Amino acid sequence: MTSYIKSGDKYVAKDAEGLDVVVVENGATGPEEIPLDRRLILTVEGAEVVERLKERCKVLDVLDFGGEVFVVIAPDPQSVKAAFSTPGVKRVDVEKVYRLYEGER
Amino acid sequence: MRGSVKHYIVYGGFAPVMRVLTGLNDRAALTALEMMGLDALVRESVEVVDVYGEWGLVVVKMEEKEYRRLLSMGIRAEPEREYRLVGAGAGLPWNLAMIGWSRDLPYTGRGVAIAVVDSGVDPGACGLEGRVVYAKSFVPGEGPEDLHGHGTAVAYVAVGADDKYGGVARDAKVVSLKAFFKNGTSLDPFILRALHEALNLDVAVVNMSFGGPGGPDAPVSRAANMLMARGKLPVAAAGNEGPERGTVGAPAAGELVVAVGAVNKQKKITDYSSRGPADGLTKPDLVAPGGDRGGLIVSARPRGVPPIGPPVDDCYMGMMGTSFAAPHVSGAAALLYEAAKSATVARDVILNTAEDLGEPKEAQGRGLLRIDRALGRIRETNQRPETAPLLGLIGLAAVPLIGILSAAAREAKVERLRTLYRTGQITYIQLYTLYQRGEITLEELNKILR
Repeated sequence: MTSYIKSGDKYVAKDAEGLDVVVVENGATGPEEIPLDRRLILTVEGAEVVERLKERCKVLDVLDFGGEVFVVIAPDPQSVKAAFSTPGVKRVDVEKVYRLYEGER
Repeated sequence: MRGSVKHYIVYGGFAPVMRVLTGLNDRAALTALEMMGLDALVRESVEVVDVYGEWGLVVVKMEEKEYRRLLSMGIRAEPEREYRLVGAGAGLPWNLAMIGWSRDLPYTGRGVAIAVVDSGVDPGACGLEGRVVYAKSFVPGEGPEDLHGHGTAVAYVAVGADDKYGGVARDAKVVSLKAFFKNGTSLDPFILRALHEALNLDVAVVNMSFGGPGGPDAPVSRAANMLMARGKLPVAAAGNEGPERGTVGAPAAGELVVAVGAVNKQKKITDYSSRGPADGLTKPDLVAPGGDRGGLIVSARPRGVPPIGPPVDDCYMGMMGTSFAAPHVSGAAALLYEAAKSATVARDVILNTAEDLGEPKEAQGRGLLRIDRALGRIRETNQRPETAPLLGLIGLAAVPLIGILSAAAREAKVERLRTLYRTGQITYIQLYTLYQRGEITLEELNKILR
């Protein structure tokens, strides 16, 4: 069973067997609270992790920035579960909204 | 019978409504005018053309006697002709003059491309004809055209090539990577795709006049950092969330991203310009003209889309925000890239030649962009004899390469480099060269820069 410790506005997976540190952001207080209408951006280590994720969840995109590999996955329960149970997933970010900076706040 | 009618700009309070093109039957416009304290326009049956609630401005058409009546009611209004003077000035536009740009600069960005990650760019907009060499949309359901107006305005500040107003790098090309919907928003997956495309294109600079929540660790910040590792300078708007501290978001918060805040026509940091720090990093990195209501940045407007700022004429509109400060830096980087053929040199020179405005670091970073000083520095460097080998310069020639040191020794060396960097004894370029040579890792580089 993975346990999570809250650290500031992040949730950090602690002592999870076979898991690296996973950070949940964007107001979610744990994987159970990941909104199912938002895609997840996973930071992963190695091509094998990508392959494992492809087997276990709906991968929408794999973007290799040469040192940073991001995997975008669909916001369905099975994919979210896979995000938090696949070794080699270093970080989980919930997609955020960005705005063009026009005018004063 | 009505006399001579012309456009006037009426100043009011703020309301969260923009670009309402209206007769006064439009309920949103009526509500906005009420919120702006300009309901008198309705009572006086003034013809309202555009309502820019977020700018606190309304464009109206009226006779002079109606104008005088508004003034007598204590409402601030100006005829259109006075508004035009704000952006154009007598010679150079104020924003270009302030950063030391002139028509006789030795570099114009020839042979250099700037990627504009934004809402798209209209390739036929005034000053941008023939400048967009590649355009692609990463937004589902929308083509590469600019349906918003922001991207076109941003591109114009960077490369606009007409003499009426114009931009910074007038021979540079634009690669338009559309990542924003027509409503001006986007999400990580679309931005990441656009940045990934930029990574693999022959561009020297990537302009990002947008932002969202998150610090240096946010995916878009880290993706933008990786552009630098591939020799492309990432430039981002610091944000319009000031004047509170700690309001620089992603991607501007990225360690290697050049975050640009805004100054107004009086060379003062604008209230809206986001302040650092960002997770302990000094941000913004520098400032450039972003304008405010006392002096806007005149930019091009796309064809067939309502203007997102007060229109000057069919070609131009007035804009403000750090969105328009950033492309000044991107344009400057294109000039420096043409001169030095290196994004890292461009970055270092831009930061090291900024004019200290005497404002806190969290507001101005290194200071105001100065293209004249930056190009002067490049000229001086080119005239110097071959400099000493890098490692010799920073006193590391006698020690083994950092890559083969033990973990403890490696950590000590990183700490030493960090101290040297903080005390100004080595530059970003020198550190970056160590990274490129594989003598420090990206993680170590980031640690040193923090």
